[in-house]
Amino acid sequence: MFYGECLALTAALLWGMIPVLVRRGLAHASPSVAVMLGLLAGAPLLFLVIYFHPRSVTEVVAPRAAVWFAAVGVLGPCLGRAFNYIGVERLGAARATPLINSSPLFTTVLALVFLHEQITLRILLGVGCIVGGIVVLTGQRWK
Amino acid sequence: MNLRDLLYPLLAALCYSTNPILIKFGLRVSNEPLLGACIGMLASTAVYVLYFSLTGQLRDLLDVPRWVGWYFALAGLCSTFGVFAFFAAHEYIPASVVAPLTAAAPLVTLTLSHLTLKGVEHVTRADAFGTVMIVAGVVLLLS
Repeated sequence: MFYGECLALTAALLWGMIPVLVRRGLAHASPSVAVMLGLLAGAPLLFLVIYFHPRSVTEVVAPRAAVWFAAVGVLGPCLGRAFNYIGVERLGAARATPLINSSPLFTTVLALVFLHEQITLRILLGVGCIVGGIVVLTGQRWK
Repeated sequence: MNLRDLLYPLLAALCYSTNPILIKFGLRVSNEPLLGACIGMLASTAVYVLYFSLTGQLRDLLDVPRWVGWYFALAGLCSTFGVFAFFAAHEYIPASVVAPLTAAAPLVTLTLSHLTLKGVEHVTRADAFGTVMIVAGVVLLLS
């Protein structure tokens, strides 16, 4: 039926909840502690997935691929999340989150520069909307 | 709010923006997205535990009120389950449909912030408008 759509929206719901949960706690602890506890809480699940996965990770994931995946982890859930939570602490969940989620803007720029992808009207409109949204979100603070 | 406050969420966006590109490099070598995600998140946990220990922050964990710890842990679980739901969605629908749906996360944050963080944050119409613009832009870029 709509399993895929429901799962994607579930991901959106879960990810959307994170800044609100973190915001509540940041009055009593640092963003760094929030990142640490979040990562530790998820670790057992990850081990379970690897353990029960039908294919053994050492057989199907080459070392070179593991390095790329580890790099994603260090940049995303590690460094990215730390900046994310500091942003939530400083700007609030509602204002920081859309700024954080403007990452496709940077991905697009990186793809245009390094992968020489073509600029299309849809890309221009998308970039324009994101930049406009950032200006609206941040512009009110300068009044 | 000063300019440095804006830097943190944008740095987070920059970190996250590298994910699709690095993931592609990894999947070209070993096409195992779920295992790749687990490796990435476990790598991030290991690196962060090391950083946390070396900077002498382990003691901060003991000072965190229990309910705050549960909030942060729940945020971490939402992140992990969100990743699983994200990958599971790809089993049923194409990435070009998954990505825009998951881009709705800031709208969830905005709504939950307005409903549950009333004493902590004040969500304005400009916040809502800016968020909608950014989400629209992200949908345009990802679809």
